[in-house]
Order: sequence, then structure tokens, then C-alpha cells
Amino acid sequence: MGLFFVVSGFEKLISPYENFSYVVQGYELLNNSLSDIVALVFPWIEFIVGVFMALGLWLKLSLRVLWAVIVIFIFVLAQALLRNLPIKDCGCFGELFSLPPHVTLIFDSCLLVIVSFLRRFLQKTLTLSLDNYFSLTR
Amino acid sequence: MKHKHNHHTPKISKSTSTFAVLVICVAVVVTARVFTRHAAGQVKIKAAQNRVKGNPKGSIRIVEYLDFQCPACARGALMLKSYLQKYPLLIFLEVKYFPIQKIHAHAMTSAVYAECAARQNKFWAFQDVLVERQAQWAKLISAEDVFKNMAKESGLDISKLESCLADERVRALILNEKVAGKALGVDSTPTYFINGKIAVGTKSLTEELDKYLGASH
Repeated sequence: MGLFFVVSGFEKLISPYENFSYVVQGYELLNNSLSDIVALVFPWIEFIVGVFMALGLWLKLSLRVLWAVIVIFIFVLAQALLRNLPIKDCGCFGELFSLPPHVTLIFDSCLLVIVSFLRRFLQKTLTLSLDNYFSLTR
Repeated sequence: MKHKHNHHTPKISKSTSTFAVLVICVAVVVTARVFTRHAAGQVKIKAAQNRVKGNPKGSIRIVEYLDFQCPACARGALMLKSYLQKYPLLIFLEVKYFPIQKIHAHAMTSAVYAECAARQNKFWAFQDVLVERQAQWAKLISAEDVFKNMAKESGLDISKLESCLADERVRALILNEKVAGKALGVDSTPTYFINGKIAVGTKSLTEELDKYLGASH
């Protein structure tokens, strides 16, 4: 799961931020300046949280941030669908692959369930994590 | 009974590991960006000879990457037409193809027809008709007949058009332009390069153009 967000965030980070800003503008929630800020900041959050999750470092915090991020995704997609905005591709994964918003909504809902499950059973989630390694060595 | 814990001191602490991971993340991204920008700088862009308009010595040089089936591209094309009519001496526009076939069924076909129109020096007349009627042909399962009628309306020689449509080099040119666009960071349409600065979407286009045109008033 961590690797998924690593790849998604990395793809946004290596292409001009204007591309993702355009995607954000398409959801018609923020003005251009705020869309630019989101486009500059969000991919870093996605990438770094993905890395930390993949490594199992600060896992509790990473899962909490990821849960909040996915909830925001779901809200943004749901309002776009309710308002019938002309978005054919969610823009979430750049050129990697294309998913229409309603499919992405289902996908994100599944991710939310998985993250919620990982948070609920955190002790088991921590097995084989770097957090576990550091806690055992205190 | 006391349990023996297998204590050992890690070579680095958790906070040091965290810092190291963050530094590596930033370094990887910065390196990747430098590499992709260097690679983009090596891309040789051929001028689209019959798809240029305006004053070649104009101070505002715009390169537009578009997909003819993209609604925002149609709006952008009409906006640019209006800007060119208003500021013919300031603007130089060049159009390049970026068909997004995975979401637009007629993206490649419309680009092929447009390129064939360009080869008969009728690109702009054909594009005007194409974007004005986009809402109609975009919904069709097959748009070939509509494109042929539009080509006739635009004054194209139909026998030359037919030869051009059968020429595989036309598709190759369009795909090469798309690849070159991707190398420059084009990811969606419409994407504009205004004096080298990327602007994605029509809002960014007008913001960027207003900076230049506002200054020239």
C-alpha cells in the first residue's frame, strides 16, 4: 500500500506541478492560487507518507495522515460526481493509468477500509516494521 | 522468573533514521527532476510549419498542445483566435498534436484530418470548423463522415485528402509530437508554453497572457 502512494506521489513530483494544479482546478473547489499550493504540497505528502508506510516508520502517524488524505479524496470525488462536473479522468495517477471518477471513488473507498483495518489492528500491522525494530531495541 | 530481553543498541536512532529517509526522499526527487529536465532539453522540437499563425516576430510566442476532442481545448482554441484577432502583431501561435486516445475515441482521427488539412494549407479553416462543432461529433460512434464533410467545407481537395489519410507517416508525425510533448512535461490538454513557461488549462492561459498584455497597454 505504501508503494502505491510512493509511485503516485513520485509521478506527480517529477512532472511540472502545473499538470496536477490543472487537475485540482477541474474539481472546482479551489481558486487558481490555492490549486497551485495544493499541487506543490500534496504530492510531497503522498510520496513521503508512502515511503514511511512502506518502511513501517512512524506507522501510526502515517496511517492517520493517509486516512485523512483518502477521506479528502473521497469527498472531492463525491462532490464532483454529485455536481456532474465534466471530469473524465480523475487525474490521480497522471499518465500512469486512467480511471474515471466513479471508479476511483470505489477504489478509494476500498483503500479507506484497508487503512481503517490496519489502524484498528495496529499491533499486528507493526510486525516487521521499523517502528517495531526500534521499540524492541529500547 | 525473569525473562531475558534481547536488548541491543541500534546503530542509529529512530529520529536519525527518519531524518535520513526524508533527506533521501528529497534527493531522489530532485535528482529525478534534474534528469527529466535535462532529457527534455535534449528533445529537438520541429516547427509545425503549416500550423502557425500570427507574427513570427511577436513578443508572445505560444505553443499549444491539444487534443481536438478535448472540450477545454476547443474553448482554448476559440480564446486564442480571439486574442490573435485583437493582438495580431504581438502573438505567434504554433499548434502541436497531443491526442489522448485512452479517453477520446476520435482524438487520433481528428488529428490526422487536421494534419492532412495542414498539408493543403487549410489547417486553420479546418480547425475552426472542428472546434466549433466539437460537441456534435464528439458524441458519435464514428466521426469519419462528419470530418470528410468538414474537410469539404474547409475547401480541401478530397483526392489529396484521401491519399493523406492513408499515409502512415501522418500518424507517426502526430505520435512523435505527442512523445516530444511528454518529454517537455505535457500530461493533459490543453497545455500551453508561453515564452517557454508551461500553463495548463485555459484559466492558466488567460492568467499568463494577461500578464503580458496587461503590461503592453
